[in-house]
Amino acid sequence: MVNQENSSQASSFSLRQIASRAALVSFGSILLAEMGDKTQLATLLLSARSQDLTVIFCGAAAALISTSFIGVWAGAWVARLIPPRWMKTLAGVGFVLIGLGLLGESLAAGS
Amino acid sequence: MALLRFWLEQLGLSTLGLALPPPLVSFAPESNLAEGSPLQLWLVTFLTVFVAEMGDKTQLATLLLSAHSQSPWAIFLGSASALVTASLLSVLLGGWLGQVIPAAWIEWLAGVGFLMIGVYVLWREWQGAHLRQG
Repeated sequence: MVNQENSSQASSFSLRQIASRAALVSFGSILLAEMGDKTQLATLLLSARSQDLTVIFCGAAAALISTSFIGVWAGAWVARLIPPRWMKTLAGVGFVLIGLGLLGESLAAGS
Repeated sequence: MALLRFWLEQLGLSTLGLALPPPLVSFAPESNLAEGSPLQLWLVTFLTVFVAEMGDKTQLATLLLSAHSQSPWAIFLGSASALVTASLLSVLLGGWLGQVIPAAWIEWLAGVGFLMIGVYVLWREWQGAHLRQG
């Protein structure tokens, strides 16, 4: 009886250890990978042109939490549905369009 | 350009449509959201970051980590908080840049920045395709 209680306590303790280690590992590696990433640059550029930093942070945070959720629980499914290459192409085209739009605005404002 | 703006607004993406230069003659109906409203800004930011992050290497890393982990919730929490931390850094840095660099330059810089990132992403993607085919 005592041995069973001890082993279940031990296994729940080690699961907590595994979980906190997993959280720390993912935190560290994702933070490192994100530095200088296009997502971070986009957020930086958007914040530079706006006074309302709180709104931008909330928008970015909501999007990042969503994509993390998708990555953990629906990543394989999404990859089957939409090939990563299409998504990267969509992102690239989207960025080019936004860039052209912003340049157009700056030219219009300057003239 | 005007037609593209019109169709973007028709698709309910009026926020993206407003990012494009205003046409000489406006085909577009009244946009759904008030110009310059916080909701519009939130939506633009959300969509931009979402599209940028989907299929990105950080999402791929999250996927791989959770596939090999006994606790996907831990991976989700670690990954989400790392990304939110990084975005906090970039919002603060961007805000500071917005204070020290003149507004006109920022607009131009943001345009060039997005353009360069977009071209780089497309180039990387299709360079890989060329190598695969060749």
